[in-house]
Amino acid sequence: MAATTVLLLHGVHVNTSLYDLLPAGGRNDSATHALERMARASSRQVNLLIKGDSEDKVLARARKIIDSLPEGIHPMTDNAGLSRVGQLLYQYRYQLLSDRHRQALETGDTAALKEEALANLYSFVPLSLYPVDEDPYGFATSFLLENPLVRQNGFEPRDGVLLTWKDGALYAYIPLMLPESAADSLDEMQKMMAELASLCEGDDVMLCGTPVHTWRASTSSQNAMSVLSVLSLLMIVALFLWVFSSLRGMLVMGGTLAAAGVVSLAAVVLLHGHVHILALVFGCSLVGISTDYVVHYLVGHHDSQDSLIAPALKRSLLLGLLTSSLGYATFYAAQVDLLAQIATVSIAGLAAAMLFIFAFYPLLYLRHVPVKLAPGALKLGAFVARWHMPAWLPWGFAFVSVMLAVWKLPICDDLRSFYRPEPDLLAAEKQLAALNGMEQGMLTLLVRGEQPEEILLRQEMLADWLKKAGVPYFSSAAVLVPSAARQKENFERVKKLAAEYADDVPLDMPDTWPGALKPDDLLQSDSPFASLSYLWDSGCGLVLVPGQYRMQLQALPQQPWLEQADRFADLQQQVRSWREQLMWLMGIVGVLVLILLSLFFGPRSALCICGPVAAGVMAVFGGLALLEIPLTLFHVLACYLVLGLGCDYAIFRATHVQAGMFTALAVCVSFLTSWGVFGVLAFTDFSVTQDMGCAISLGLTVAYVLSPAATGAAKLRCRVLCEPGK
Amino acid sequence: MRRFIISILAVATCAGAAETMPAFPTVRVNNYTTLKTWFHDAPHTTATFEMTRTMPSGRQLKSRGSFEFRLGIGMMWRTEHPVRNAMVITSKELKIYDAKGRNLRSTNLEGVPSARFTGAFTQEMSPEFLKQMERAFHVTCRTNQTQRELVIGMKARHRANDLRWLLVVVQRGVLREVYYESARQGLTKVVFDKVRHSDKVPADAFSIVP
Repeated sequence: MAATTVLLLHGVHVNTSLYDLLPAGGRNDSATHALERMARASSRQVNLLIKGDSEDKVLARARKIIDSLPEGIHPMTDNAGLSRVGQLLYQYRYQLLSDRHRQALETGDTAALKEEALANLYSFVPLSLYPVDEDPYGFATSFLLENPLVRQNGFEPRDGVLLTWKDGALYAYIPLMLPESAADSLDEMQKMMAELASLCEGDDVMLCGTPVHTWRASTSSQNAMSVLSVLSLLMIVALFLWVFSSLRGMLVMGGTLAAAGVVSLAAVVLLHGHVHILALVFGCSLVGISTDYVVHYLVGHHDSQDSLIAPALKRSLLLGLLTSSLGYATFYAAQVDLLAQIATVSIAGLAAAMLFIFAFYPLLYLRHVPVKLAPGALKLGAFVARWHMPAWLPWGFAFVSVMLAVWKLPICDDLRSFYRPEPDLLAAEKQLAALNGMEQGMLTLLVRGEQPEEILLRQEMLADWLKKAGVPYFSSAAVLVPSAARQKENFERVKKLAAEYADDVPLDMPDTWPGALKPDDLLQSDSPFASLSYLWDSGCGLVLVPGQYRMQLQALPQQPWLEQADRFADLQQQVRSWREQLMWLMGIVGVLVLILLSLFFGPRSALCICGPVAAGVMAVFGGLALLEIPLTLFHVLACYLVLGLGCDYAIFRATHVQAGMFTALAVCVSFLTSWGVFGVLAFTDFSVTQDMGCAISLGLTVAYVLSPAATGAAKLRCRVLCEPGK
Repeated sequence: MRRFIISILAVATCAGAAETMPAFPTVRVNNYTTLKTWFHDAPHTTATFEMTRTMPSGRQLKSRGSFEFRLGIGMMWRTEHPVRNAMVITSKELKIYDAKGRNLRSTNLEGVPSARFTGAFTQEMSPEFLKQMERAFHVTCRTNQTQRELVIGMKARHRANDLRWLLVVVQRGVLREVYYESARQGLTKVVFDKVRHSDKVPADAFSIVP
């Protein structure tokens, strides 16, 4: 109740973006902010491609889709938006010059400009986007149409749609922007995308972009998880019915898990202020260990009218909790917020489950839960209890697994490799990349400065370097809006030109400098360029360069204000760091658990108990090496689950708190329940859950199968514990 | 965008400002067969012209020069007074030349969707082009014994579109006058003289310098 009150009062804010996990990486706040804005803008942009063989068909299809777009989704290239941009830029037509016009004015080749103006005036078709007598030289037209941001790809705007030909086929490209709210709400995004996808059915239409990936992956995961959840529940129900001949125990178990979940969530909210979805998923998975406690209680009370928890069982449960909590407490040492959140969720959840069992089970048992093991279950317990194996066998297995891992275990920390999009989505992304010349992705350069003007000046300097290095096109705020200094210089040159040809080409321009256009004036306006607002921040500007020019960037002069940012590399580095820390911590946890068990049972018994766990964890690494599957962060996280559950199996087998048959049965049921919950993840399509499911299945199976090696390891000491009077 | 604007306006193959502008027809009947027939009856046309343009500011420009149309190749608009330059437009590119025949500006239209639209006049009246015309324009044909008028008007005034309407006057099968209104250029009237139609299209290049 207290936990529920905390959640109600505090509210729960769940972060879902992987970028939220990234530290600033030594960058200043504005640089991080700019990169986050870029990621956020990308997370809302859907790219719609229509393929056809004629303009007529393609435009008709495009128009039909645009007219039926779900409310909130708007095309970024509509005619009205382009018109607004044109009007805004037109006001600054004497100071915004294309490279061609600027170069002509710099070199003094003004006669050619005059000829061009006369051609514009007397042409039978207008060559200017604006009234020809107001802009006879075509400055505003050239600035807009010859701008690298407009001409960098072969797309041509037509009725709010971008058209281009490629390999004999006509493509219409419509960039669509989802509303801000869709980026914050997965439900809303899924709903919008489902509506959009229903409009875009057919082989001639392709959808791609981050929201499409998010929608497809989340929907596919949810569907798979729904099916697997039902399967998992049916398996556990069948197991409980077969073992206990009743589902009442399951209801109590459900109550325990619910209490543990609420308490763990309240704890993480209180201690950390927020919770990340990954912490919630992994933490709650770890809380699943508490089902073992319930199973041991129920099996221990077979045909018993005594509802109290036997002291020996109580101690074993506490020992199980202690070893698990010790393991997860080491996460705090890593000083990584995500790991600390996982530790908080796990420890608080396990402790809550234990308290729930200790406080309520004795009260509930006699009235509601009395269980009697089925004859078949008793036979299974007797059968499993007969398994024996030497204590060295798990360690031998662990040694062989370690050797395999050392020999050839590949490692992968690139999160992108965890995601395997569906072939049609991959094909759409490739097609769009081929159309816009981004086959090799996009490189991001950060340009810092104290003042906005300083950033623009530096971007202009960088633009010169990029052109000299052979980079023909790139995106930056300065490409759209030059520095104030350059704008003023342009204005003075145009004024001189107008005076020189006042008779042939009269131009009514103001005498005084009207002031500079600022990036925010354009990027914050209601226009298609607003989608590029992430390029500009008052403390940092972004310059985006196509990936094929990676080599050319190495030729750029080194400057303290210039840095290449690669968020994927940052994320990869971060994931590597987490994985390495987790692996080191796992070793430390192993040693601490060994010491703890040594204190209770002596070193030899502790080694016997730890053997199956070590074998289970190492089996994950060895198995991956054998199958040549790269080790990922998620395999390592799964190993912690194997560690927590495997410890419990071995401790209960070692302490033998109940008659051997019952202990063996309780451990067997615990294993089957855990496998039913976590092992089925191996059958999902999503690589992260698949990795975890495979690792848990393998590790748990090995830890369970080898757990008889710990049987009776602490028998003598346990007898003393069970009979404190002696 | 540049190619788009140019291509739309390339429909106005002739230009001029009107002092006595004909009334825009209220009854509009799409009749592309007549249009197609007229172009195919005159695959090669040469003429001199006098253009009068009243720009949006009220300023008036007058010019004269020569015009040549070659079906399947392109067209040339050569101004000889008061300035001397020439513009050649084909389905592949738009080029502006100065008085000495030096290329001032080139705009590549090859592979651009609207180039097919532009090129339709210069190459063929394909069914697809006619469909595009039908979507964007009204074409009215008024015929009597002495005069045949072809009127092309915009169906809807899109903000991105510049051409408001275009009127081509053909008398006894001979091109006489063109009128059009453009948002950027104002009202334009072109009167043709020394018009020669022939069914043989020359194979040599346009004569940029007279």
